[in-house]
Amino acid sequence: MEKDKTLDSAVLRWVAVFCLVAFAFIILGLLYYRYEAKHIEDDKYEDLYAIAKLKVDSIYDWRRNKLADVRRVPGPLVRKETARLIQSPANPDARAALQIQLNINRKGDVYTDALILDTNGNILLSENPDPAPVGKATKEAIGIAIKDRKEVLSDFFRDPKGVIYLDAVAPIPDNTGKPIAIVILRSKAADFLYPLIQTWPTPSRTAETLLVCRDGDSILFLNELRHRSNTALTLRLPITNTTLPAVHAVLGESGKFFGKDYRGTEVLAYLLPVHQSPWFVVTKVDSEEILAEVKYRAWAIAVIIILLILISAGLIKSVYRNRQEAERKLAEERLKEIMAELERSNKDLEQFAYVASHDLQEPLRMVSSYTQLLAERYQGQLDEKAQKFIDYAVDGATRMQTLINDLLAYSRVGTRGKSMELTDTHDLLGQAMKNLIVTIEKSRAIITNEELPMVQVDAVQFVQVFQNLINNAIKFRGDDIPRIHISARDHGQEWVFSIKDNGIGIDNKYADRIFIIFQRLHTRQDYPGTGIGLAICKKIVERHNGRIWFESEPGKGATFFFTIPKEASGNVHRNTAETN
Amino acid sequence: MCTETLLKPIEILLIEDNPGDIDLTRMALETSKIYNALSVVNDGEEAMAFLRKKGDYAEARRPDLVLLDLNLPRKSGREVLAEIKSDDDLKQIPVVILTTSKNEEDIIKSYNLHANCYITKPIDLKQFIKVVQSIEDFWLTIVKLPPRRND
Repeated sequence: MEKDKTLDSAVLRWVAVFCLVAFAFIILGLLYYRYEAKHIEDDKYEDLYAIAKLKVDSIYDWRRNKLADVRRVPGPLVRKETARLIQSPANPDARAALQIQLNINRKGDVYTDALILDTNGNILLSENPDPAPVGKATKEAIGIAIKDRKEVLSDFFRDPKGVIYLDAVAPIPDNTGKPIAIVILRSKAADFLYPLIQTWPTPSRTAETLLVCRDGDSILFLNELRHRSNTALTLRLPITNTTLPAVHAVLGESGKFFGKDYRGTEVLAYLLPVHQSPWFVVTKVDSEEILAEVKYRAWAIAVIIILLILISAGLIKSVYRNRQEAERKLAEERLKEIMAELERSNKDLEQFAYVASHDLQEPLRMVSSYTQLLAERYQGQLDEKAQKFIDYAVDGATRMQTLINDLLAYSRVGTRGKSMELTDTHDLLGQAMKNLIVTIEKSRAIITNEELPMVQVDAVQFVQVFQNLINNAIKFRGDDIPRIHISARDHGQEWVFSIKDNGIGIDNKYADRIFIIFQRLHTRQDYPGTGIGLAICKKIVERHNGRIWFESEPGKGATFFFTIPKEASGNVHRNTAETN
Repeated sequence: MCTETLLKPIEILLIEDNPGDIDLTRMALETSKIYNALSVVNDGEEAMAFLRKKGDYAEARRPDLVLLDLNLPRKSGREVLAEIKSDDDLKQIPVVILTTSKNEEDIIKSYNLHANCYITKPIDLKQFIKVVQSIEDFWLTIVKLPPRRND
């Protein structure tokens, strides 16, 4: 039981260690996960920034190119021919000359169209035989160009066919610098700008770039979107929708932003304005895509942590096993030592017993023999007193020899015990009574018994117990014929034997003393004996893991009880040689 | 036979180291009705010398009965017993173990070594004398021993 308890506490301690290690690993895993998640997010923002920057720069360059291109158109030749054309719009020379210039400045197919308009916005010449009509965006740009006398880019606009264009507008001045006409280089958004915006340098399922501008109380999406078709110049969202990254962009914010895009989907975004333009670039990616990556990392971390925990469990288990093995070995060694010690002390005891039986008795015999011889040889020469002294000496020596023998018998209970065997106690009682036959017949004792059980006992010792108890019952009889009754009761785990007599009884105050070796309650004159019988009974019963006690009242007889466990758990002593 | 007995005493060898016991034994034998001659040696070495007529004991007579104590100096009674009983010349001599030991092991060992009998010395003087006389009586008058050798 005790052993189990210590084992349990040891196991618990190791389980606790394991839990601690597992907990540490989990915490470590979580911290690493958070670090990784943050790292991934930062990386993503970094990417978004880099891409946004790239786009913004490209758009800026593109715009500058467009403006530079259109600024170069009104050279001296163009100005001269334009002046002629304004004077007489039908002048075929001027038209032809300007047509050539427009064609040159169109740079092949870089511009879808090149046009010359008057300051009211009427088309005078165009490369395209069927030019798109001049719309609001172009007219606004013309107004600014004339007013500021410098080139300008229009907003995006759609022609009636739905194609989106953007015009680079420049004034054509006369000699005084006053604008007399307008030149336009028209770009198709889908040709260069949209691809520029829409391409993404790294593979991504959800990343996209938005080009937006403010249009009154709303934001206007200028490009076609990845997740919704036909949005360019048509998709407007209210500027009050502050979860939109685009709204924050047009309100002048730049940098990281976490919000919901036009679909209502959570996105990581980076906002940048396009320098010297009303445009803003928003690069964004669905947070779900980042999350997927983070989740993947989380899984990887979880797998690693679980592996680590399993490994540490294995390690802790093996350490625990090793410890247990070591402890077991230690215990075994300790047991061996104790056994060796026990063997030594048994040897000592044997030695003592031999000394007691032989070497002590020989001098005793000398004392006794020669005092007797003294008495015999000097009979008549010694007085009565001397004779009495000699008697005392002889009696003392004899008694001492009995004591030595009793002491040896007592010590032999432990050292000379036989193994426990299943025995019919009824037979053992019979044996005891046979040994006492003379005493029983002389006292005319009446001995009765109930049914007695089979028990695991050392038969020789058990007979001794019966014999000593019955002998006592007869020895300490009252005036009546001794009546002795032997019985056994089943008490579950053990048998309780009882030997009841009608003798002189015992005062309860001697309950402890009576079982101690050489303790006597009567004088030798009244009841002879050394007081070894009950001490031997107690030792034998205890060797069988039982208990012995009595119940009595003086004058009313006594009942001795002793128990024998049913399970033969008695410590079976090694059979050591008799040493008497 | 009868005359021989009268002429030649029964030779008894007592191997015993305790002078008290030697005296008691001698006393018991002196009061015996059988004419006997008691020789005493005090240890096992001497005993074997006596029996083999070696050294000082060249003139020793072959005993008819050996009384042997077990605890002896130099050579123990057990060794003496073993030597007597493994000697073709001596093994016919009856050996009576006369000792204080009641030890079961001593008893078994002695008989295993072919002791002729094992007797524990009684503590009581009268008992002791009676026992010694009984030994003599039994071994020298009741028991039929092998014929005596004249050597």
